[in-house]
Amino acid sequence: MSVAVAAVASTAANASCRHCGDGCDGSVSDPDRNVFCCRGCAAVHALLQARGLDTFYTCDASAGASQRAADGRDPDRFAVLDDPAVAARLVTFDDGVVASVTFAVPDLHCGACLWLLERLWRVDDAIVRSEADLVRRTVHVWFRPDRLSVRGVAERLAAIGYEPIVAAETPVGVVAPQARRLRLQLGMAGFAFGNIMLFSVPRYLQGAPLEGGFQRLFDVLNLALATPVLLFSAADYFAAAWRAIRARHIALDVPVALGLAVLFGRSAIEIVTSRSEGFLDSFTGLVFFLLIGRMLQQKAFDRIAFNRTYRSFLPLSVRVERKGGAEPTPIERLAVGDRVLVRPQEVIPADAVVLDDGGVVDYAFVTGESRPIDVAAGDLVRAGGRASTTLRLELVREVAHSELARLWSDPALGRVKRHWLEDVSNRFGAVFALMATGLALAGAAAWWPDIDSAAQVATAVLIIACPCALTLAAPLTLGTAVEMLGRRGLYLRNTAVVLDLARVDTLALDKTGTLTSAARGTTATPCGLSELEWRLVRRLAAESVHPVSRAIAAAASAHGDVQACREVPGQGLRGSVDGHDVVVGTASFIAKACGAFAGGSTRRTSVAIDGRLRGWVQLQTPPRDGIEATVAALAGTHQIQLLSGDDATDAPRWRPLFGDRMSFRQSPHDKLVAVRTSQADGRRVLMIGDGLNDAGALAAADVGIAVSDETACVVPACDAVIGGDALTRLPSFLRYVRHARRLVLVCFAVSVAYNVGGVSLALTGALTPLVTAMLMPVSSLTIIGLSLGGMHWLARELDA
Amino acid sequence: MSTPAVDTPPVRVAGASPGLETFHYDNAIVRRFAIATLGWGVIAFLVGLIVAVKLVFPNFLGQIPQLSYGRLRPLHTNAAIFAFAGNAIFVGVYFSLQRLCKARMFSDRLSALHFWGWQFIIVLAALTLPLGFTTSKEYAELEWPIDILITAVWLIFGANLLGTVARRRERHMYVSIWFYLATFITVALLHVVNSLELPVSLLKSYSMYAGVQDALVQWWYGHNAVAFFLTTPFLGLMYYFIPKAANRPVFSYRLSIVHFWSLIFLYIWAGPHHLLYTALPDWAQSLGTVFSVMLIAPSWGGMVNGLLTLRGAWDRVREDPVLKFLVVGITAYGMVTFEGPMLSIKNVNALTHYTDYIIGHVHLGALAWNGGLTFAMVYYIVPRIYGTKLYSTRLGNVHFWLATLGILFYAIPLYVGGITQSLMWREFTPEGTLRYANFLETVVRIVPMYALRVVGGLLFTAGALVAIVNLYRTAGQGAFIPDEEAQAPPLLPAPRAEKTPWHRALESKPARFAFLTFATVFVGGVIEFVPTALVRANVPTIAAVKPYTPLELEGRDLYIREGCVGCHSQMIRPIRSETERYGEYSKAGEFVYDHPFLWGSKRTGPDLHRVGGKYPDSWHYLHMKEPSATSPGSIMPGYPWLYTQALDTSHIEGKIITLRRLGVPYVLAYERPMLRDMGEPLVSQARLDMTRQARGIADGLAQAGMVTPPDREIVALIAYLQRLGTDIKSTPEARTAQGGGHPGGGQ
Amino acid sequence: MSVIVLLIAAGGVVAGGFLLAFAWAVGSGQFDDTEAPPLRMLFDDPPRPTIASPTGEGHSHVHARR
Repeated sequence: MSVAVAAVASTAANASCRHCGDGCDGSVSDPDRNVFCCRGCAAVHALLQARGLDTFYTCDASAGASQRAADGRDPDRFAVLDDPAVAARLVTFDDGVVASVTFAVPDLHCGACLWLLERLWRVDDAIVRSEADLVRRTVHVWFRPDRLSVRGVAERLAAIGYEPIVAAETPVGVVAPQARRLRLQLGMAGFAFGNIMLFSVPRYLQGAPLEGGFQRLFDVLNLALATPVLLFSAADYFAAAWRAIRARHIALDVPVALGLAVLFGRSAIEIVTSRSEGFLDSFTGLVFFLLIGRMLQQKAFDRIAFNRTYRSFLPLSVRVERKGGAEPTPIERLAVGDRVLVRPQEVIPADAVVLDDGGVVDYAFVTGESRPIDVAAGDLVRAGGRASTTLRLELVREVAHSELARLWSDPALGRVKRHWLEDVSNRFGAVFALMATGLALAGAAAWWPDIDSAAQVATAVLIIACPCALTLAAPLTLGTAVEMLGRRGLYLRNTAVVLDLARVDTLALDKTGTLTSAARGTTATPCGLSELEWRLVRRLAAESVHPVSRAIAAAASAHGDVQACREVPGQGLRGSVDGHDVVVGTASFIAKACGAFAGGSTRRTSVAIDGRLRGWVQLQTPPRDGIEATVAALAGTHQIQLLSGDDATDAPRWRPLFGDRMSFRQSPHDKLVAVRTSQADGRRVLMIGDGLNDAGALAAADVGIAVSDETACVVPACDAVIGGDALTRLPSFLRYVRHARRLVLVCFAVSVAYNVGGVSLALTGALTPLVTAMLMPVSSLTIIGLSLGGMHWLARELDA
Repeated sequence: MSTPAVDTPPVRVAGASPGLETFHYDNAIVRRFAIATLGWGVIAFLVGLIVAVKLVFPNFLGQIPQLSYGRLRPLHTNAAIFAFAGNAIFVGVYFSLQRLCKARMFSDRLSALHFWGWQFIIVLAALTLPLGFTTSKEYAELEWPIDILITAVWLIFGANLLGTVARRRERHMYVSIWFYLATFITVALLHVVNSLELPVSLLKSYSMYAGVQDALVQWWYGHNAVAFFLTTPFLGLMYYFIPKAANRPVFSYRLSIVHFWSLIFLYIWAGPHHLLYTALPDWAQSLGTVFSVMLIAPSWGGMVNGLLTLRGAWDRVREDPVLKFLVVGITAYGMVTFEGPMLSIKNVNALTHYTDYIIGHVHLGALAWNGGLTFAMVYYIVPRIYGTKLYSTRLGNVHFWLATLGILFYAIPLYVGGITQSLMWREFTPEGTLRYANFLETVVRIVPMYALRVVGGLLFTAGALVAIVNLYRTAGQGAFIPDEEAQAPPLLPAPRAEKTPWHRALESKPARFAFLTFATVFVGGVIEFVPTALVRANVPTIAAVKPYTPLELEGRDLYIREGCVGCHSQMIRPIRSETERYGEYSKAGEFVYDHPFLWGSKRTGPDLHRVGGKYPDSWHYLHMKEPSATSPGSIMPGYPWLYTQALDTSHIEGKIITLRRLGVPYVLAYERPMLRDMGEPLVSQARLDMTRQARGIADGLAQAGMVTPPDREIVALIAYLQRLGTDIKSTPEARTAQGGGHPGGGQ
Repeated sequence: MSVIVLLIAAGGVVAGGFLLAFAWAVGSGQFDDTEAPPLRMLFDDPPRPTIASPTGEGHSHVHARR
């Protein structure tokens, strides 16, 4: 849809965008003199006004997401959704009258977004209802299939500034059933625990059974309350223990399950034989606490997908040339020999041959090589490259056989990482299980002739030896750590990563997109050019849309009148500016143009003015603010090395930080090897990178952190994702996780101490129900307090 | 555009085209309840003022039976709780529920029935209580026909509530809705269980339970009435109106959810802590204590959540009366919910129970928490349903300060007075005798505090009047919107590919088995115990304890009618200062025939459990006519009408039959007319005993120079008072000698 | 204190009922998104004159599909 956008002189510079609040030069504004950072924002704003939805801006000033990216977007990008097969994958419900579809909308972040996205029926009355999910950042839309298509829904969302992610992945927004199950288990346990405590308190206080058959009543009720806890709430622990035993390795779950089972079993027997009131309060209490731990641990970042297949980097479909124009085709139907059309900003789906001259491709994402590459007819382009101009290609390989796909066939990516935590828990588990059973038998033996007290002691030992507090320690501490870090922009895949992160001693960093910010684009710096000459060059470059020209022109707007400007695709640009004959381009182009011989790299962009070579233009991506300080800090604690896919042009800038620990022009495989080598030297490596070319290394490293400037955008498979702006806080993050590790060990020690103390009591047979009832919850509570309190307290210095 | 929507969402039949639905919020019902709230509120405050004044000038408003302290006090409490707070709840629920569900109330007819039914109940209460028709159980004084009516109206409210929720257009049920549902269900249960009573006549009934048991049920109800009528619904309202008024989301929604479920899973057990040191078994008392202390957590969870929601909006709090009242309300809630558990700790309780401290405590809750939220609510709602702004923020602030000062002037004197008096009660001379043996000394000391409290009440009431003016003007400057148009898309089936885990959980064998076992064992356990327990009333019965004689029984009903229980307890706690002052401490076994129990909860006057035989009949005769005559400085009003009205004995047979049904061992046919007294008509043994005992007392008085016909009410009352607590000291013979036949003697 | 049994029965029934209610709520996803509801309840926007025509494309696509 079109919106009248009046361009006004850049008077209202440093105004903030009415829609998204970004700063803007005021080049875009609307009749009501609202200023916008880009046409996209203006378009959204106009639509919202037209639909009487401008309350949006009152709920939360300029809450919109910036639409800068929208400018270049292909209007037909959702065409693939017209393909029934594709649409069917997204439609969750359709009774012919109403159909519903769920989209991931990464820009959904605040109340205003929520308000807007749940009023889609005002945008188009073929939309019946929409519900947004702030946690998963999805919107679910019910619409009239007879009046609107799935594609239409996607376009409506894009039109109001919420670009839906349409990727060839599993349907979004589905809640993991086990999350709900856990809530229910926790609720059940809490319910039982609370009520059992109540029924038990009188007994504690009186010390003797209650008169009038009340003790009996309460015991029976407690048993009634505890049964569902055993069968439902604690079910997963028994299942896990069983699996562990089947798999022949004693995880910590085994002694836990053993303890819980005995705890319940003995209580049940004592109650049925009306001997005593049993330990059901401790039993339900422990299950309750364990589940709380699990709850914290399970805190997952639904909006981030850590597992990516190469498919998720490719468009859902591309336009294939058939007789009668280009028709969108899902990529799985592409065949070798298909002639496809790839629009600017689109990703090349499979290795192919270029059909026309003058194309430009950049592989920044695949190889880290930031410099755009000119391609001519006959050149081979690889899947994963991003087109800067519209390309006509003929596929030479199946999508699945492209180099991009092969990155995933590397065994490194298939391999499941072994977490230190698992090793520890398994070791502890075995020890506990053996010690507990051993002691139990010993105790029984000691009291032997007296079978009754023998059984008493044996069970008591097994109960007390139940390492519940121990089991709590890790999930609570690490779970909190994961949450604390997540709030600050480092999203860990799971709690075990915290410990692995705490143990790394080597950092391998990618350059492009990691140390430098891809978001800020490439900058051009003149070499050997005077102020005047540079102005002329910039002015001329402004005439061209070639990425390099854009980079040059972007430096600042230059004036001057240009005549006879002509561009030779893939070569360079020539024209007269203010009467000067300016030539910009490859060495060969300049040689051809004015016989002037340009030395140095043939890939360098040289400049000749009035027939004489004057200098060249250096293209580079700027580093993130404050990244040098960060790297310096890291160098203090870890051994650091730079692995860049880019050429060595700006090596000098990084030398002071990395010394000679720098390698450039690294292929994905080189990076992977580099990581492996240092691992071979017994080092534990943390790889930080953003590109596909880092995928192998990220997977091979002990911990792989992918950098992403918007958490929604695609990142390679990794253990953690870090927001680009959070990167500078990495040193404090690493300090934090090291503290976390120490805290876990402390908790382990404390809980073991409890167990030892308890067991010695149990062996002497001095373990009264009251003592047990106190000891076990108390130990759990200590651990909870210690870990939660500790981690929150330590988190302060994350913000310091 | 979509088909013009009806106010009730259409059922989606295949082929019907769903579309945006336009419907209307029912503001008329909200306004009605708001008017009722304010109207009854003022009345409740005024009656409160009257009884407060009566504590300073006992004969204020003269000696009219219907306006006597004992009869007005229950009117005040009922009006405050059920008329003021009750209607306030309905205002908030009817306003917020419709908006939270994006739907009109389920049925306008039910809404109307609910409104008028509730007001009718209140009117009945306002009539019956002053006329002396009361069950004497606190906050449940209303007689059985009204109890039934309450149940009916409450169910109507529930149906309307559930119906609306069922027809909601918002998939998620906001936490407030859960609080409302909990209120409906629990209050229904509490009311029914506590009000189980056996009717004697249209306006007279006896509680099903006796003595200790009755006390336990009553305070299980009494506490939960506070918990589920004055707390749960208001928490729900808090979670709606604070975010709305502050226009910012609640601090932590997760916390609010945890808050609700932890509260709901456990709250229902509370209660026994109101009976510390009583004849209730120790362990039950301790349970009550532990429990109440535990309750601090969820209560404060709610308070903190509410206050933190206002974080960052404090600048607005300074201007906006709505926010001001909310802040005061929550703060008070925090204080009260901290104070409550403290009061339930035995030693603290020993000090504060029976004193005015408790009165201060409950008023802090009622005036600041319930009152504050209520006024905040109407200040928020009224301008909106009239499509205008509040008439005057300045008046609003005036009201705020009047209310706040009123609360302080009310609570502080009573706190001071309560503690002072309690300390005097328990103070001993070095010789080991009570320093203030005469109860009156302790009363006279705190009368000034009573006077101050009147000032507090005046301020608060004045504030309420200011509010009414302000709101009236607000209504005047706006135009009422009886049906507020709103739009929402219909609630369409959530896409659910696979069954919800809950279904699967239920179907997965272990879980299903688990829940079934829980249900069966629970029910089984209870069923196993109920009958045995009900047969074996395992209260240590005392052989000497016998049922009341017909005259004493009538006297007891007078004691109930005049609301003596409002100022006099009948429960001497096993504490030296009390046994010293009142005599042998009370045993559970002494109350086995007390339907209802009359332990009381406040000692404006002394405890009466051992008053029997303490003074001669003549003393009671003089004292009841004009207390200050026998006890100078007494703030007890006189009861002259007892001396003129003849005792209505028409129901005595019915009363005996009823009590026998409840297990009081009156001899067989005791009430049947059978004895032929030469030529006279048939009379029952009961009546003979009654007249004989009455004549005995009348003769005794005559000898003391106080001539009174034996058929006067005072005679019956004296008979009852003289019987109180005597069973365990006197032998049956002794009593027969002094005229009273002992009807239980037969078996 | 036979009546305690009665109270327990009453209390138990209510508590159990609420347990089931909780199970329903969890199962039907009431607590899946705890971030949106507190914000959603703040919105009570007055009804707007409804918009007549959607932005053409919606239909054109439908035609395209046929």
